Amino acid sequence: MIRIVMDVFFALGIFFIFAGIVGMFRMPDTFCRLQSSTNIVTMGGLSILVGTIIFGFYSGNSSIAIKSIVMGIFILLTNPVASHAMTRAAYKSGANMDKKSVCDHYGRDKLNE
Amino acid sequence: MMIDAMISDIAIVSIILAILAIVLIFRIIKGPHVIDRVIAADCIDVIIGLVMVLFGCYQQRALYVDLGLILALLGFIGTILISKYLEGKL
Repeated sequence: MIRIVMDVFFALGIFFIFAGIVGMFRMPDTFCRLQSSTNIVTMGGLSILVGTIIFGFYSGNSSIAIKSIVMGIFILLTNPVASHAMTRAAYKSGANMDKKSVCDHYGRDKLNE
Repeated sequence: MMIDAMISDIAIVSIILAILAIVLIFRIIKGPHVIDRVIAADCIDVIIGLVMVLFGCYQQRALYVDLGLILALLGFIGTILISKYLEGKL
């Protein structure tokens, strides 16, 4: 029973990582690819870490589970910071937007400043 | 018994994750902008950290989980450093 729960979390994580990698290859733009990278790290990583926590508490080796909890909290705290810094760097260093893009709110806010 | 079956599942999952991380190298080679390469390197770093955690479960030893935590931390510091350098504030 506990094995099925762990496998469901692993399958969820692999699905989200696969979807993020397909997005990294199919998206037309740098900013869209940043969105897919956030999908990979947050959803896939946290699902696989939840499966690892279940395995650690079930097999009696609870140091694995507690370290996995610490790693999950660390990923949850640091991934939005890294993604925001990468987006600002991509905008400031002049990454090209796609031709079909409609609006650019960040550039409009800088212009009215 | 049950733990052996769970360990075989963990081995299959870690092999699939390693193959997905190898596929991402193509984005590092091809990426038209520098940030694309940084994104792909960050994703590969986090996936290798997850593989380290799964390998720690496979070996029933908590040392490799520490290695995964350190790998995620150093990847975060590198990403922030490269982003601030490209932004021009360093």
